[in-house]
This record gives sequence, structure tokens and C-alpha cells, in this order.
Amino acid sequence: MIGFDVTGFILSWLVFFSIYSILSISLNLETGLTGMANFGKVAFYALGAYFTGYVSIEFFLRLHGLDYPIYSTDAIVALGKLSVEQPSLNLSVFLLTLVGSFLFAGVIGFLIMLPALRVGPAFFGITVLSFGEMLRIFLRHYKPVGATYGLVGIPHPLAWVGGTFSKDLGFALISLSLLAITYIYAQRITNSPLGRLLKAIRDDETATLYLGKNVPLVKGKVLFIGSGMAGVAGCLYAYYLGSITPNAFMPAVTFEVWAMMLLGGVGNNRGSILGAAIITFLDRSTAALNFLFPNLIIDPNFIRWMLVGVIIVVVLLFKPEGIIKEEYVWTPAWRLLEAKAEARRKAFKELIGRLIKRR
Amino acid sequence: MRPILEVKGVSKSFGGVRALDKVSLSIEKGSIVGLIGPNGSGKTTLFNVISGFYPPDEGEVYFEGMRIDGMNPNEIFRLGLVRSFQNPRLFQTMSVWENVLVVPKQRGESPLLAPFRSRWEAEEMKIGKRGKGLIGVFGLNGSERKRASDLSGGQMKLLESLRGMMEGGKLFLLDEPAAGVAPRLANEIFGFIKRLREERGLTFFIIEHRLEILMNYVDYVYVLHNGRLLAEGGPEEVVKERKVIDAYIGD
Ligand SMILES: Nc1ncnc2c1ncn2[C@@H]1O[C@H](COP(=O)(O)OP(=O)(O)OP(=O)(O)O)[C@@H](O)[C@H]1O
Ligand SMILES: [Mg+2]
Repeated sequence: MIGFDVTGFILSWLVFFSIYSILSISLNLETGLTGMANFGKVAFYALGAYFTGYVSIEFFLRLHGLDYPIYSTDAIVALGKLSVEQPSLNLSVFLLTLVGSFLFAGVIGFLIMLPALRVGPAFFGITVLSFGEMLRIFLRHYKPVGATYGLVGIPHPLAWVGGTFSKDLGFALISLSLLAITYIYAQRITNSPLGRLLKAIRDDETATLYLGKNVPLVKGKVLFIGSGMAGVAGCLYAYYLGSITPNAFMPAVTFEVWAMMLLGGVGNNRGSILGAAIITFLDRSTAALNFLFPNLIIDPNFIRWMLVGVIIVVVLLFKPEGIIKEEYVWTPAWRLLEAKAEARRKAFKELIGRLIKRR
Repeated sequence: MRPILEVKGVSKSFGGVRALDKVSLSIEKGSIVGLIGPNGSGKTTLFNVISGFYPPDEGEVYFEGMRIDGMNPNEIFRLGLVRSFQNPRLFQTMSVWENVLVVPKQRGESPLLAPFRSRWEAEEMKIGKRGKGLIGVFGLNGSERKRASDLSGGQMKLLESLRGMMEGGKLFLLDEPAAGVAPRLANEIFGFIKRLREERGLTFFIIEHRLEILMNYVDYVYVLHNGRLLAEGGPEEVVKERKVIDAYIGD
């Protein structure tokens, strides 16, 4: 185990756990709760990452009056220097790109996917899957964002913190906080009249329409929020790695997120997080395996992809509801039922009491 | 006063089948009107056209004097025209209670307000109380926690009609609301419909196969046969008409 850094492993796992949990919660919102099978999740993750990378690099360079091309060596060197000079700049750019990623990915998700819903539920999946691939191929050839090289030298929000450990710990905490916000929001809307409405759309869209609900509008809002969340995950990813390439956004990422949602349990947010925890742990472990045993016959990355496939198949065949089962939507109105039951129990007790007395 | 619903010369074909052929009828506010006819005579198709499931090939539909053919189903519902389906369309994975609560438009449906319970709790409680009352009327007490898919066929029909009555409807199109329901409960439901008409002036347009039940509750009956209006009138007169008897026996 020489040279294996356990703390580093845990911190890196925490970051990936947060990023993928946000992705699986967002997929669960669109697919698990609302029934729109989103096979293009990775596209909105990529949009968040590229927005963050591009905007933060541009900001740092242009603010300092440097006009190096975005993917040049000069730019990367300059970014390395500039990013440790002014903590307040790092943090404000971080906040700007965080909010920006949410809005950017959210708006594009809304604009692309809402019309795509018209092709029907089966083709919707294929349409958004294709969109993701088209986006990736576009990014591979679009010079202003570095084409195949991608974006390098993305200024880490905590680059100015001395010491790798503090920097990584700080970033893990930021990631976990964003996951907490995402989870609390998702959990609250799940157990609200909105959550009920989403499940109604999932169960029978036509009937929902006949109950006066503006189904396309509701779906549009969900797509905006879900894509926005994926954008936030992309933002974290870009900062964490410091560089992004188009090939990091293969369709396989989408399937990994699907596997997390299915494994943990469709239609519930805790399940999405559990699935993300398990699969990112496997993922990080195979990465560690790679590091510890560089001469393995099988590339651990292949093991990882095989595992994802096996998990999807096994879960769908043997435990389609996943590890955690979906629950009803719990809202205050359920108390009205308990009040009745409570009253009945009381009346029953009284009756028994009277019968005993009579004896 | 203008009738609450007017159907003028409505036709609808599916490929070669002329499911509706220039059907015209009108329904007075506050009445209970029956729609009968043999299987395949076009009854459900007529409801589908009125409620916006699909537009008619020709003809017009007016609700409270407003032209509604070509409008979306959710817009038509918002005007106060509510329908139920012949094969109940419940939210299968949800509980009976949620199927009821989901109907009224409420503040907690907004993604911005939903996370803040205090902003919608009071409104939801009000909806819940109303729902609880209707559940009692429809005899679904004690089934609130059941998954909708676990109900019997009759209970599903009941839940569907109940759902339709959760929010501000004026005219109800009920497609065989008592199919698969025991006669006694069927009579209770029709009794309840009658009471709603009396107390709140609501209007009902009802498809029902069992004439013997329907006859006791309706003011007026339309008879469809092969997509055409065959007869209309008071229930007693209509069932005595030769052509109506022929149509039913011919079926
Ligand atoms: N969507 C459709 N596509 C093709 N044909 C249809 C469609 N809907 C109805 N039809 C046809 O139109 C005719 C009328 O059907 P409809 O369902 O309106 O009859 P109904 O009076 O409701 O019958 P039932 O008493 O069996 O419910 C039938 O011949 C039916 O096969
Ligand atoms: Mg029918």
C-alpha cells in the first residue's frame, strides 16, 4: 500500500459522490418522478462544465488585460499565477459560474427538451441522447473552447489556500453543501403538492391534462430545474479537475447516473444518493486499483463499465423498485386521516370501558 | 336562457367508421341527462369530442355560450366541464388519498412555493377536508391508504367520479359511472348526483347501460345508434319508442 493516500481517496470520493448525487437526484426528478426518460443527462452536465470553464478562464485573463488564446500555454501559465493572487476574485468568479451554470444548462435544457417531448416518450429518450452526442462532437471541433484539448487551467476557487489537503477538504465541503441544498430542495418538493402532481403526470399524463393541469408547462419547469442541477454538477466537476475535455462527456456518463437511480430506487431521493454513493465508491476503487496495480491484465476502467451494465440488468430483473422503495407523497393532509383513526380508536376504548363497567 | 351545452352537427370518423354523424343536442343547466345506445354507437366518442380529446371533423360545441371545440382538455376543464373515462384512468402508483388531493389547482404546485410547507399547508388542509367529505359520500372510507391499483373495478369507477368533483365543475360528463358497481351503491351514487343537482345546480350528462337504474334519475334521454341521434325525450317515452327497442334488440 506504499504511496496510497487514504485521505486523498476519501476526499476525492466525497467530491465525486456529491457531483453524481446531484446528477442522480436531477435524473430522478425528471425520470423517476415525472416519467420523462432522460437519456441525455450528460449534455447538461457538459454545458455546466463548459460554461464554468470558459467563463472563469475568460474572466481571469481578460480582467488582467491578457489576450492569450484560451488554450495556449501562455494562458495556462498565467492562470496558474493569477489564481493564487486574489481570493475574493476566485470566490466571486466561483459564485458567478455556479449560478450561471444552473441558469445556462437550465435554459438550454428547457429549450431543447420541451419541444423534444412532442415526438413521444420513446423517441424523446433517443432525441436527447443524440443531442448529447451532437454537443460532444461539436465541442470536439469548436476551437474557442479548445476543441479536442478542451479547457485547461480552470482557476480553482480555493487555489490560494496553502496545502493540498486544506484545498481538497474545502472543496469537498463546498460540494457536500451543494449536494445538501439540492437534496433538501428535491426532498421537499417530492413531499409537496408539486411532487404529487409530478407523479400524476408520470402515472397518466392524459388524465392529468383532463384534471385541468397544464402538463407541458409543468414538464418544462421540471426540465429547467433538472438541467440546472446537472449544470451545477458540471460546474463542480470543472473546478475539481481544473481541466475538461469533450471525451469526459460520453453517453456512458448518462448510463452511470441511470444505474445509480435504478440501484438506489426510482422515485425517491434518498435512493438516488445511496446509488450514487455505491457506484462512485466502486468507481473510485477501480481508479485506486489502477494506481496500485498498474500492470493488471484487465483495465480496471473496463471493470467499472461492465459493473454499471451488470447493475442495471440485475436491478431491473430482480429488484425493479431498487434498494429503497418509493413512498407515498407525505403532506400535512395525511393528518386528516389519522385524526379519524384516532377518534375511532378512542370510541372503541370507551365502548370497551363501558362494557367492562357493566359487568 | 341558453343551454349550458350545445352540440351542433358534430361528425367524427375513424378511417371508414363514421362514429358520429351530424349529432346535435343540447343540455339545460341544472338537468340530469342520460345518453344511451348499443355498444359502439358513438357515446364515448361524443364525450371525447366535447371534452377536447380530439376535435370534430365538422360541427361546433358550445359550453355556456363559448365555443370550445378545438380547445385543449385542460382549458376545457378550467371552464368547468369535467369528464370521467369509461376505463378509469387513475394514478395507479398513488394512494386513493393522493388521487383525491392532486386534483385542485393549489399553490404548492409551484416549484418556488413547494419547498415551503407553511405557504401551502392551510390550503391543502382545506382541500383535504373537502376530499374527506366526498370520500364518505362515495363509500371509499377506509381505503384512503390503498394504492389505486389495488381497488376493485367498481371502486375505481367511484374514485374517478369523485376526483372529477374535487374542483369547481359545472357540467359533468360521466362515462358509465356505476359500471361494475353493485346496484345498491349505484343507486346511492345516482342519489348523490341528484342531490348535487338540487343543492348546487350542477348539470350531469351520463352514459349508463342499465336503463332500469338510469330511468329513475334522469330528466331527459338521448339515444345514439350507429353514430346518429335516434331518439330523444323523457325517459318513459323514449324507452317505449319502437325504433329504440329495435336498436337494442338488434344489438
Ligand atoms: N380512436 C378510435 N379509433 C378508431 N375507431 C374508433 C375510435 N374510437 C371509437 N372508434 C369506433 O367508433 C365507434 C363508436 O365507438 P364508441 O367507443 O364511441 O362507442 P360507445 O357507444 O361508447 O360504445 P360502448 O357502449 O361499447 O362504450 C366504434 O365503432 C368504435 O370502434
Ligand atoms: Mg363507450
